[in-house]
Amino acid sequence: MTFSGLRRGSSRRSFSLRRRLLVSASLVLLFFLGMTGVALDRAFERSQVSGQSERLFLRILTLLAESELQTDGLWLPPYLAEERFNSPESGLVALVLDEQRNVIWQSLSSQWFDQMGWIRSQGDINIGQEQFGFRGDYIYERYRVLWETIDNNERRFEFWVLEDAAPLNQIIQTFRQQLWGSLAAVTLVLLLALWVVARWGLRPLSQLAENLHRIRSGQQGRLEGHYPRELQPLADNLNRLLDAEQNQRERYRTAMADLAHSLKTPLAVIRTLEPADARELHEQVHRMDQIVRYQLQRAVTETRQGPVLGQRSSLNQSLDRLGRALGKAFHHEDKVLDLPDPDQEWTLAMDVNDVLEVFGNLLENGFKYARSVITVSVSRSLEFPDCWVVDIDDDGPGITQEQRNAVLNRGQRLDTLQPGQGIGLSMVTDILGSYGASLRIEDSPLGGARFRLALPVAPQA
Amino acid sequence: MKLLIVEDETGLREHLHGGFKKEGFAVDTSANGNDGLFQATENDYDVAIIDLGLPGLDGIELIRQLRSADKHYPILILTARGHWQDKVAGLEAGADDYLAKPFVFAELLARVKALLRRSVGMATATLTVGPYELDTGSRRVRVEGQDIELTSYEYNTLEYLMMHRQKVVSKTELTNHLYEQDFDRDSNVIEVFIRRLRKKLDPDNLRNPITTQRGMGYRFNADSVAD
Repeated sequence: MTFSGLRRGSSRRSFSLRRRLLVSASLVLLFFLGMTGVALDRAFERSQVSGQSERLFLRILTLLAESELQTDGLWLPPYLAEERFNSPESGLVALVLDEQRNVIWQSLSSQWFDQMGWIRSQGDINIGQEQFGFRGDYIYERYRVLWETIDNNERRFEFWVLEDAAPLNQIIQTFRQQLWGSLAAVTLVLLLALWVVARWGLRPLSQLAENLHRIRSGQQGRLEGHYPRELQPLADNLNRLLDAEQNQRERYRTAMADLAHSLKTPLAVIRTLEPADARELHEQVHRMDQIVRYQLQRAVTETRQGPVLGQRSSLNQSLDRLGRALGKAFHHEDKVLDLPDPDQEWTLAMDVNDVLEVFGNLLENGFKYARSVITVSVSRSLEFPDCWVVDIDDDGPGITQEQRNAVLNRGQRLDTLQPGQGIGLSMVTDILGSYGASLRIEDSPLGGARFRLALPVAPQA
Repeated sequence: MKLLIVEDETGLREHLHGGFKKEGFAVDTSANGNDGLFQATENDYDVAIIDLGLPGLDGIELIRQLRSADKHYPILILTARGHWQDKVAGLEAGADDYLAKPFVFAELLARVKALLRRSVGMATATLTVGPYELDTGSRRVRVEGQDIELTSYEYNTLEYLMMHRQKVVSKTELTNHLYEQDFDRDSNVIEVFIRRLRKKLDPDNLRNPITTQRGMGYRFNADSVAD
């Protein structure tokens, strides 16, 4: 296993996880704090302005209270109770206009008031209606009233009160500065907190990356340390993969050493041979060929690491195919292969090629050693639950008790294989071993050998 | 006997070619599946050796097409991997025997000879018709227990006639099965061999073992020699 994938990925890395988190969270934060600021700003300004409007209206009501309608017109005292109406440049001005929009009264404070022309040019508003607004440096409130005289005449007047806008603007400005200042401070603090959270939250990932880097540079063999619940399965699986790879490498090394060692013996024999000893040369070459075939087969079986899940194959079909094939190949031998008449489907939890390999070797051996008949029978046995028990019998010379282990090549080193001793059965035991299936040799009721196999039954589909 | 070898590995192909030629076979060779199929369907062989892993058309497909082209001579497959799935697939496609690589030439030769005997219904390596005994294993011929000396081509001619003694063998058929493709078919060498065989098998003109059916060919006269 290599980590080149990781390296390839980093060369065109877009954004780190931390940067993604920080950038997106900051954008969201800025948006919401901005929206909040704007909303607060508007609300404060609106409340200030409406308060001001109410205050001005109260002043108009006070003016009304002090007014008197006399026969020659509306009368107001030159000095009002509110001192600011009496002194020029106090910033508070009051005016009264008649129906012709002539100023019929104005407070003493309006001495240098410059908006008279604009006020007179404004259109009428309805009786009882008030209007609030800004004009130049002033905020104004106007109110139109209907006054009934004693002789039942109706007179209309428009009261105006204007106040310097600077104090109000000042209040709003101050509030605005404080609002945005504190919002900026809050944003900064939150961003800092986010950065800390992202760093702390993503630390296990950088720890993982660092560990992988160490594995790549050979400083350690597996991932170390504990990871959060979300990452632990990943770490565990990576460790499992690393261990498997390590084991694989170990097995290759052993297999290579084994192969080299077992080939050295026949090579040594060949080197000491006389040039004329062709028979011995042939035997040694045959032995080397067997060793190579055995190791290749073992490499195939061992890399599987136990039966693969979900495999199933029909024993009936495999036996049928092998029976016809072997019948053809051993046509000249006048021997009978008696296969069981299938009354049901025997399904094995094995790969079909492994089944062919196992029975191909066993039946071929049967044909080689039987005198006239080879039989196959399938049954169930309490001794092997969840297994099909398959017996292969022949009427050949049989195998003695002592030979049985040697025939199955149990515990026998490759370089001690006798010339001519087949490797087929070793392959069979290796394949069966990888499925946890068993094989033993007994005496056959036919007089020869019985190979009894217990093969895993495939679970119901 | 005429043999076709389809094998892509040059060294092995030439080795087999030499080996079988030395054993008296007429050998044609082919290095890939497509050419192999062409030769195998165009010519008549007594036996073919076909490697399973071939460039072009693979061995199993070659055998399948050969069988569907109504060619029934025996086929032996060679397989490098030696897995049973390959052997079974080959035999199911129509091959008659298999041999896993590497092998010893003697074993291949024995298998090929066994296939040849099987194809003509011989149970053992020795074929006895009357006083004539043909030992296909050692390529020797005996008349009433006495060895007679035959050249390789004389033996091949007699072997083919004795193995097909139930029928009349035309001169063309005999030529096809005794010689490789580039043989000059107009030559009268067959007649020469027949004449010499008759002289060696029946020096006194008593049994007339090989009869000439005019315009048709030759026949090993099993009935007359058995009397």
